[in-house]
Amino acid sequence: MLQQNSLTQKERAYLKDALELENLCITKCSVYADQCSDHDLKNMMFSITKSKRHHANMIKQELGNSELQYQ
Amino acid sequence: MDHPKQFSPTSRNRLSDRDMLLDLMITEKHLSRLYDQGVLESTSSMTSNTFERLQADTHDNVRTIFTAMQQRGWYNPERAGRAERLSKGKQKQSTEFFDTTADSKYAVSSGTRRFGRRLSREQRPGKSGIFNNQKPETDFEDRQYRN
Repeated sequence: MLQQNSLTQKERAYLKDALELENLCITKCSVYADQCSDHDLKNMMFSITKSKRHHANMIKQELGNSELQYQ
Repeated sequence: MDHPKQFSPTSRNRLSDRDMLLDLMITEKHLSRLYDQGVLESTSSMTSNTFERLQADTHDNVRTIFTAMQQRGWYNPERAGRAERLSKGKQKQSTEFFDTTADSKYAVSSGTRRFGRRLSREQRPGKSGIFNNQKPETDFEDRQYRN
């Protein structure tokens, strides 16, 4: 049964796309941070990676919550 | 483009620092568009808030990358019109001024002066056309109403 707070199909699709893109961003950022020759840019990329990890967790939580409500 | 490329000394197959930042910025822009759609499509306020928070963070990241690129001279969007004015000088400014007056002339000629020209000769007011024929009828109706 679909409860009131569960996500719609569209919302789930957007969140899944976002999660994929955030994960891609994390990979890119860490690879670029390794390759980067500028120290400041390296630090910037590490901080972006950190924020991206946080985003991915947020999205996972959102998707996970909705899965629990499908029962 | 005339930006200083920074190749790694070990391999020439790597991306330059500028290309890396540009790639990250484009990915962030793509994410931002996705979150915007997410906000518009979400049905519950909770999901909408999540998308908005993610969107705000994405904007912050893009701003950080943008500033870093701008500081290094890798991303310099020109101010609108400034480059043209610098290169063409006074002549360009005078045409710009002329353009604004042309707009008002257009408004006058299309709006007031030629108004009514699309009507055929018979339909124009003041000639022997439909307007002349209609006038007595309305007068007659008015008189009937008053009586």
